[in-house]
Amino acid sequence: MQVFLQTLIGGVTFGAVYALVAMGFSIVYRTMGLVNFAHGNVVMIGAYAASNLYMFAKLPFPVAVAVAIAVTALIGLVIERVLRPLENKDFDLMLIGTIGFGTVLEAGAIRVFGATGHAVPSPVATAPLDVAGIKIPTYSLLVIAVAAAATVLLGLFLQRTKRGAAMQAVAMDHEAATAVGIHVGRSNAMAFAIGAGLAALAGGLIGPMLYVNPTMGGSLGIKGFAAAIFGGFGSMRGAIAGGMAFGLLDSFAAGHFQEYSELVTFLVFAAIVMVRPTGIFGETTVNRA
Amino acid sequence: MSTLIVEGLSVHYGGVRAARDVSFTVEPGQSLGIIGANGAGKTSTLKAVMGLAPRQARRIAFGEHDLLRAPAHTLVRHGIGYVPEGRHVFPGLSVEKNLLLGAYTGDWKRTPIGEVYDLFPVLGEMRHRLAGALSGGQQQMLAIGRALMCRPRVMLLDEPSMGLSPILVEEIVTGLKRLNADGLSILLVEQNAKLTFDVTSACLVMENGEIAATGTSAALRVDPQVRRIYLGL
Repeated sequence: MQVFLQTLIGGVTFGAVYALVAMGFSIVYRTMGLVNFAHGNVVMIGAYAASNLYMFAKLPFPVAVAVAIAVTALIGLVIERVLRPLENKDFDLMLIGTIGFGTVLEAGAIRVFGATGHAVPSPVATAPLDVAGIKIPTYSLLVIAVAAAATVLLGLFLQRTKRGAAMQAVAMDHEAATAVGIHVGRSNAMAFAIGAGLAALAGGLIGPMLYVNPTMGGSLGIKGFAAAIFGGFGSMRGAIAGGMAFGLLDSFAAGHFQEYSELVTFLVFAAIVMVRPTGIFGETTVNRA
Repeated sequence: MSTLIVEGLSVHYGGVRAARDVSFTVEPGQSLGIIGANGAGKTSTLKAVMGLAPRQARRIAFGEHDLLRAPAHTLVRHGIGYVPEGRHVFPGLSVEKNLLLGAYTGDWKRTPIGEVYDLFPVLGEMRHRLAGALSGGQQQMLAIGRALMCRPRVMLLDEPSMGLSPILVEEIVTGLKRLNADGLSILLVEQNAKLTFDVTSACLVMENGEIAATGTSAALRVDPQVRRIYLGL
């Protein structure tokens, strides 16, 4: 029982981070119908930016993450701006473009930060909370709280603001959105910036839980992408549910199958997606592919 | 008041020519119809005016605004409302959100949403419903209502009768006539010639991407040539 609950907490913590990554994938897909294959590498850049600012520039952890979000949002804007001429014209080239950007980011990180990477000390030094014999790391609580807050803020933005409504409108019908006066390119740029910001938040938060290195983007990107598909690609609720499901799956698989855990995780994922290709909230997603 | 002027408009999709050398004007308060069979180039013409299709033209202007140089998303600011073919409402958003997005460029605290609900009361009753859950006729009203939210001076409508029952078509016709009587200029593209003659004062008949005939709606209604163009005889 104790092991089970302990694993559960670990799973939810990673799940919260995967959910952030998945939301970043989904918000870009929703608005543009594009899978941003550079997303995982943007997470990695976010992790590097946050950890470097925290460890070497000695910024407080929240400030370091905030700066990292700003930096990666800028990268998101650059990617969108470069790909904009292809928007709604050549999709395959756009996809390849995002893969290219991902490779560039990874190679750039190796060049600037070296190939080895570094461990990040936990920013909350306090001992784990002890609840009825189960140890809850305080950092886990922080990660879950921040991810939840980011999710709520994003939801409020999409539901309550004019820009949020406009972004959803572009996702549903970009021509009609243009006709009512929405600048589709600008809306897409914002989606990219928000997606990249979420990536940096995820990267910044996962830094102290993993080893920050130039290739971490690959596995995090795949997991976040899988989580988004799991939940129903393009759906925000789906991204959260999928992220959580993937985190839990990952964590229980790690407990039971050790070195085969990734294999088991993705096998289960593949089986579920075969049964339910649209994911958990699949029916309500926008389909632009 | 502003006149919509289109001169020498051509539309090409790759090597396919959809419209060639189309010219017309819509005077303030006028209602002009463009009729023709399927594939005659009506929709392409309208989309090209909106900047949503690849176009060449000597001139497209609305009042003093040169629309050839205006990006598509700025047209609404000049007072041009557009009701696309197939309605194209935002299906996952509520009726109210759809309408508010029609006033995207304006202040959401001062929109004519009351007037839209007044024109189409059913939209008011369903304002919290998702637009995708509405019937075809209700979606058409929503699309028209959305275009009205920017307080347009001219409204471009593309096949508003498509897929609607005769009763609903009648309701749309009544709505359009009322808007026109209130001073809104209308450019109506339709396959349904009878509806178009009811709503408009003058019409163009398009065939194979070109204007085949023009005249007052009253005269075209009895013109045997129109019948020929339609039936391809």
